[in-house]
Amino acid sequence: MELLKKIWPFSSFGQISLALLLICVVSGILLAVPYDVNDAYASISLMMLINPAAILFRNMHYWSANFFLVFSLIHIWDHFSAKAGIKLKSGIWLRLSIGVLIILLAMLTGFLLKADADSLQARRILNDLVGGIPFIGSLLSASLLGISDSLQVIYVHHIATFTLFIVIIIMEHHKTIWPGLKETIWVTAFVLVLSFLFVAPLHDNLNPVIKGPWYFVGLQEILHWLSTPQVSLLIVLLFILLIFLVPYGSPRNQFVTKRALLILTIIYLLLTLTGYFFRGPNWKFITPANSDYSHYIYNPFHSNGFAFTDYQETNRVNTSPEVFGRKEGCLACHQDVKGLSASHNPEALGCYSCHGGDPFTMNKNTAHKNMELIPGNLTTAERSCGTTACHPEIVSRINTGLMATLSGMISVDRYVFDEQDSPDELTTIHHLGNSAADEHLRNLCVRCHLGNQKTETGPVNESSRGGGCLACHLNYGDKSLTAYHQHKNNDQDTTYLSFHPSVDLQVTDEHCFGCHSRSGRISTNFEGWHETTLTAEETDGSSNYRIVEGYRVFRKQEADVHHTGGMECIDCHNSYELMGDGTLYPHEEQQTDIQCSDCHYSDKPNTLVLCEFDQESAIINSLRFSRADGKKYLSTAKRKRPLINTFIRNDSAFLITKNSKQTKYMKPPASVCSRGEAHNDLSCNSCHAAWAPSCIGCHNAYDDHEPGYDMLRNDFITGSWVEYVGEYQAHAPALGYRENGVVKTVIPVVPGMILTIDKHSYDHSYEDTVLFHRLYAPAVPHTTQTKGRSCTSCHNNPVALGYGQGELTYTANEQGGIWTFNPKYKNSPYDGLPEDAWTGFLQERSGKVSTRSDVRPFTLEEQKKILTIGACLTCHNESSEIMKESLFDYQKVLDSRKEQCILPFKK
Amino acid sequence: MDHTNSRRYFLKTAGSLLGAAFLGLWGTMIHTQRKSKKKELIRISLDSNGTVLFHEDCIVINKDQPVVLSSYCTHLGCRIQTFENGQLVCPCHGSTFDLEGNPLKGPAITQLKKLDFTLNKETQTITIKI
Repeated sequence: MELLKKIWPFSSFGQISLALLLICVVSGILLAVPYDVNDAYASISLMMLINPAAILFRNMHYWSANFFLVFSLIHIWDHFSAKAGIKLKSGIWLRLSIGVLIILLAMLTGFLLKADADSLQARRILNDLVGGIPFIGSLLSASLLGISDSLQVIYVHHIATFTLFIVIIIMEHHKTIWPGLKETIWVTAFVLVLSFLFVAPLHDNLNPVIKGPWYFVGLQEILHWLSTPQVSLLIVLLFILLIFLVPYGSPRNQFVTKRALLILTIIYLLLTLTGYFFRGPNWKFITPANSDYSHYIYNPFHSNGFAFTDYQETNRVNTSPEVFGRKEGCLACHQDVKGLSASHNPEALGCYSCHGGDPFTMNKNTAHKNMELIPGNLTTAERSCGTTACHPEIVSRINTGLMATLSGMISVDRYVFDEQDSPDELTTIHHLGNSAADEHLRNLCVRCHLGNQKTETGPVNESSRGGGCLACHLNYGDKSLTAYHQHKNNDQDTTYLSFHPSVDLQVTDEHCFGCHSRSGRISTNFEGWHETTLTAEETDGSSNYRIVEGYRVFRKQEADVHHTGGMECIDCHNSYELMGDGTLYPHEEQQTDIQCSDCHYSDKPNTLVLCEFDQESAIINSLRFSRADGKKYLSTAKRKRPLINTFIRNDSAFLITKNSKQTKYMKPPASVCSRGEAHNDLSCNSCHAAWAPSCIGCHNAYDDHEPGYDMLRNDFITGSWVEYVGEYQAHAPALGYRENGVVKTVIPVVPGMILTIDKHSYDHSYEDTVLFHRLYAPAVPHTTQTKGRSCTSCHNNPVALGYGQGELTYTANEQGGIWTFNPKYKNSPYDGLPEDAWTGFLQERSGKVSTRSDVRPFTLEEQKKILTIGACLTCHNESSEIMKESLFDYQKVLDSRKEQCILPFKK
Repeated sequence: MDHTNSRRYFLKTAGSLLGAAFLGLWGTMIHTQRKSKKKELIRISLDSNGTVLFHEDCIVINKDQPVVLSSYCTHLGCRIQTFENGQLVCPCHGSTFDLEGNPLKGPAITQLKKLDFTLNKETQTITIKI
């Protein structure tokens, strides 16, 4: 302690405070030159960009003021602890005690004068708090803060009223305002170093976190818990009163008062730490574990990018537009950036709102530090696309969508690996572990999720996976694409900096293609391409083949009628289906809102008018199409959401394609669809899906030495699951039942998971057997044709019935009719069924049969019914009157059949 | 001596009277200045979309029967400028309100003030005087 006193160069904390006040006053006077009280925030941002000396003075003003507060409080405490006690006249001591409040007010007015988002809110709070004081609150608030939005009154109080009061009480108490020379030199050096290293905070007006000055953050935390905020004024008054009371009363009372003050101060400091380090947007609790923690907590503290700008740079800053009320260094260098749509015009949004970095510096390195070259990835979307002023509604729910969770994919994979009892559990990619199934997913499946980071610039193409918001909304125009390629070929070519790709609503099929050309392959199906196991060399190079990603060979098939009609994916699918609607769904059929019957309705359509739209649909509608009041739009039956690109005119439904703006007439279902009641339980797809891709008999094994890839970590690894694929085929899909309670619907299904898994190869503790599963998956193949399937393609088709490919023959003789089936594929050694079958010929299967718990093959009784009609169709043409009649009264037709009509399954 | 004749009494009384006069003048000045403040007119096109628009002093829920709420949080006057999960959220202390201004989560406990406005059906305009 003695040593400390020897090396401690200052006579008292009061002297340090005086030195700090002197620096504060001098730097404040100098700061008044670049500061413009009429355009405060912009003038501060301007000085931060082009006036390094002003930055230094601002920093000195900030740090000296803050340390003046701290050292003044320490000085008071020091007096409390002194043996001699406080020997001041009570009047002077009262004024000194009030002086603490005045120092706080002087600092608070300084905080308000920067006029950023924090300051504007603080001003409103102060106005409310002071205005709430009984009788004179209104007068006080008007006199303290002014009546208009101008900062004039606050400025006067800051530089005159409060400063003068502080100077007067110091003179009264200390008799001089001048600090010692030694203290002044040391303190100036300290403040200079601090000011050089740490910049005074300035809010960027985008970050959603709103905080007061650090000494009032504890109060902000208290106010969060108080419904009657005026109590906080009493807390401040109590604090001042306790300071005033310390020198009075008996020694015991003095001791109690000091202890009370100390305890209150400690509690307040703890609250301050909580408020400062653990409160994020909307004052919600946040911890360093949150990925955006540093963005939310340290954002107002910008880097100290001292950069002396030349005349040209200064001129560029001066002529650059103001965004969010401030100048932004980015726009001074990146002028005339072309290519962005009006919604993302850099003159309105700047660069910083999407790309981050530091907007308040002209130092290139500092400006680009921590910047997001590719914004929109889900890890950062909350602070770019999802920031308060932009799309917080969407970004807050996007992680609930299946494209972000991959719930169905994960759940089904774990189900086939026998790691989960149901294929319908809610899962998420964020909880993927290292079990055999999860590793299988990591190696082979999970590249396709929205959260997969886009790490390289460039347009979305058929190899693209994920990329957050940009996965769908990024579009390169001709110029930006040319500039991009020029830069790729030559690092020195910076044309690309002037031609920004567009971020807009032109979501095309190419955006969906990368992920949806895999697994169910709905993108390629839709365009009429079926994947084969051929290699590129094995094709004839004709237009009948298409090579995807340089090696996958697709053969031409029938394209979906909607595709040939000029429609794209987003013409049916709405924003809630694609970006999540806030609810977690286990499978895609639950998340999907649109149904064929929403557009192709037979009775009355579901309609909405514009004023019944939800806000998001209304905004998208206004961005895509001109307003049309009174127009009737179709809506989805499932969630009552508007189909913004449809309308009803003269009792007919029309659709306008979202990108190409072509108007299409939408036909009602053909009369055959509702003829009789025989096919009421058929989904549209079960008849109109022309074909679906399927693959059978794949084998999965883990190879410790296989060079692999962890798709979640995006990292090369050694050891990977390997899929040995079977045959790829394209034919009319099989059919099965989906049972939801009493509702039974026939749907198309494909052999989704007929496979063997050598689980032992991954986990040697697992018993040395191979898992075998024969699961079909419900499918929406996106191969819709106007004409539905023929009667025989279901009733006489072994694939449709779930038996797999082969010869299904009906023989009738006097003994009766017999159906026989000769399968194309051998029986599996695992269950004795043909390799591609779902169920055995005239057998029943139950238990683990499908990738959904509510989907099953036809029961024996159902097979018999289908095949009985099939038997009729072996003689009667499907267009014959008798077959049509059977749709209305099947039993009557059966009862009235002729003798030569021999039915199967009759004993 | 009658204390009402003392110098101290005189000074006290005169001081009080002067103080009261000063307070009166102060109040008059502020009151007059407040009255002279120009009212701001905000005009918004009715879009019937339920769009939530944030202005400095008000929040407009733009629908067939629009709702105009004060943007001042009833807790401490912070400007409410965030609409999240169908709720209006105060950024300063975390209070939330529904689109009718009813408090859903504290610290605020009273409803956001509903502001008067005029709706011109012909020009499809909402006019708010602040």
